[in-house]
Amino acid sequence: MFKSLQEARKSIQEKRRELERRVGETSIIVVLLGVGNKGLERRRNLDEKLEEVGILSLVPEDDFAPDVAPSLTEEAILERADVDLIFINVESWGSATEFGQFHDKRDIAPKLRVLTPYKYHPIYGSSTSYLTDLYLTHTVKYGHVYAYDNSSRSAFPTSEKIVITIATRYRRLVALGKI
Amino acid sequence: MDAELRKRLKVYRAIDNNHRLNILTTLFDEPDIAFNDLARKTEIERGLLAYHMGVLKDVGLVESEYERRSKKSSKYRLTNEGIEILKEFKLDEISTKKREG
Repeated sequence: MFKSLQEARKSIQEKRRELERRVGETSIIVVLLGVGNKGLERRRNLDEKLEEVGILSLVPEDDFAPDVAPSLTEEAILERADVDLIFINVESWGSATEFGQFHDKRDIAPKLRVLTPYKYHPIYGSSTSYLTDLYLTHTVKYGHVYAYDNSSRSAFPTSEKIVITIATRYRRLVALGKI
Repeated sequence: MDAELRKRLKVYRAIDNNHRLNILTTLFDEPDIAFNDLARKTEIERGLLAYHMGVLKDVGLVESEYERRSKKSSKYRLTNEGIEILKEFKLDEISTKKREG
């Protein structure tokens, strides 16, 4: 019998490692940030697809307790939670402001994967906006700013394809002990 | 890989965390506890607690009810799967000891 949570946790870790070794895979936690309406629908569809491939995926609007203001949950997630990856699709002034606030925080930046319509990408697009400039700084410092085209009219992948590709490869690398 | 194994991996990932283990044992002791009471008992700040509850709900170990009428508060309880996983790792016995102690 376990005397404490710590002992129980050790047992959980042993079983987890054993299963991961046996199947050659692990599980990661990702959070999908973005805007409401069409963006929310898209994130929900993506959430389903990630869950199907065994990735623990969270959409704040659906998954987090409504008792807490969303901004407080997000801050906690970004700075103190055991999230592996945070995908952010900056589609509005609201999410742009958020991105501006935390993109350069040392604890947060390494987990961020930024998705932007290709027109606003600092390398592939032609925008000269403040946001594009911020993307350029982030790209230079941390990388991980990805261009997408959900209209499928250009060669750029959809945001869904980017997220699934990055998340599954990240999981694989974690399973191999390379991250 | 089959869906059952994938699910197991997700559950192990979810419970491999001190805060979430603390939450699970608290819920075993006090089913249908309100969010704010859970925050107080586990001493986890509310924003972070909202995240951890999201993880536990996502893997099916916890379920919730949201009451809009009264104080607009969520209440949480373990699912049958949540109780089973506690028993698998004998965390129910730790809860019992906490109560008796």
